[in-house]
Amino acid sequence: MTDPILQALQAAAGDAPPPPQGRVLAVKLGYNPNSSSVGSVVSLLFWSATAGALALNLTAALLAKRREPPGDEG
Amino acid sequence: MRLRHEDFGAIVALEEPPALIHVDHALVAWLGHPPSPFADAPLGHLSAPTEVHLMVTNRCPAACPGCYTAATPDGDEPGEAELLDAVDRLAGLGVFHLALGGGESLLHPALFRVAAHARARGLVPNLTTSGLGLTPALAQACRVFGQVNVSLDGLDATYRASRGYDGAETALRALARLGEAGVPCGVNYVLSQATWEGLEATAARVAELGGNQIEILRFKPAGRGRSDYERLALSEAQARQLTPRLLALTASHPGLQVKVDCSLVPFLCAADPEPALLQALGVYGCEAGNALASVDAGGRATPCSFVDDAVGTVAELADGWRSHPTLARWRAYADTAPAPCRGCAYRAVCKGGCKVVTRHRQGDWFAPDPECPRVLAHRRGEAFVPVAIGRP
Ligand code: SF4
Ligand code: SF4
Repeated sequence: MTDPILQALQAAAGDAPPPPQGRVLAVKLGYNPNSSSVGSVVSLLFWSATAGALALNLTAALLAKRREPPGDEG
Repeated sequence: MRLRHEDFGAIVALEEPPALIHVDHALVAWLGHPPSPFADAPLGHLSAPTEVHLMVTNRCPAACPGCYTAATPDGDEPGEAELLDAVDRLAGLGVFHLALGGGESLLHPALFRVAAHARARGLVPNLTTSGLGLTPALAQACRVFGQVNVSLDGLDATYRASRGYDGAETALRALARLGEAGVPCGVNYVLSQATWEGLEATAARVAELGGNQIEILRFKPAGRGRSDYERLALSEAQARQLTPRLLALTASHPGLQVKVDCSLVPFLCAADPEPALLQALGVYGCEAGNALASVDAGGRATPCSFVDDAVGTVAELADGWRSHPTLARWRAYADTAPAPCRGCAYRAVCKGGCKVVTRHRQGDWFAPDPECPRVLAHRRGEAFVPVAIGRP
């Protein structure tokens, strides 16, 4: 779920490394074609890892990604 | 990628994958944008809605008995110029997504021009349709939308019981045509006593046809839906069964996203999801007048498409976003909500439940949702017992 988001953010930021203190606060996926559909995908709410463990600190994920050897992108 | 400054930093809107990402001030700088002007002078609310529902017509031949906009074959319909102007004003405000709906939106002769204009102004248009009149050529034209959902309240007799006519096959054909045209598509399923039993069979059919989502909407006492609300509303027992049932549906159809609307959040919260997780996933309960706003076919702007507490014209919505007293009242409620919402761990997300239901049942928008299982337990003086859910 997060990889394409990481790539899009890093592409927008160019070569600059992400600031270690930076945080992604929330990620809302998908489009809502209805007048009221700002709820969410039910399974994610109950069957994801807990919030603390969820890879929502994308900055940390970005930093980790930069440490991967060339060729491991993706 | 679009970035919109907020009190907390910014919202970044991506199209591939489609996502709204809330980032803090440090990441705003990293993304090469100037600091948010709201860092030092917080607004206390979003700088614009993330999504606005724009009703392109209130015409519809179907006359469904529960229609929340009370659409008729000769209902209100704004002209093209009015719709383009609305898109411009909403784009100027900073809105990301436009939910185009009706009535039957496909009846509007300028629908696709309005959608193309929204794209040109940086908004992603999405569409809801009954599927009536969706030819293969129109399905191709629907590629302009980010997502199209077809209203499908069940198959056969279930659809008939909900909508008053035999429209399920038309809706399913429309879904198939959209899929063939490569349009991301799914269905809306209005959950009521009339449709409670038909959910699983409908989801299976949608999954078979390659639909990407089934969005479950709570039946609401709005428009023609008011007259039969007491008969059709879900019971407390059903509200408690909802989450386990939706999770089972997810397990049966892994390729199908099972989603819920804002008004069902109190029912989901009865199963005690982790509050921080809800926030991290951007789950919204009653976001009327903050993340959400609406403009009806008569050009009247409201905090959400089910309420008639008018803000004024779309120009007044755009110009008055930071100061309009109606919007201020809707945004302020959650902070002052009485018990049990006041002490509820989900208040920041749920915001006290659906005001449309509350007003219908109690005569006032601003009170705890009288169908929330926690609220019902509180009113009986009982301790709330969370719904048990299994693990996959
Ligand atoms: S009143 Fe609130 S919860 Fe109900 S439909 Fe409107 S935004 Fe959603
Ligand atoms: S008690 Fe209030 S805030 Fe909590 S889930 Fe129910 S309606 Fe929402």
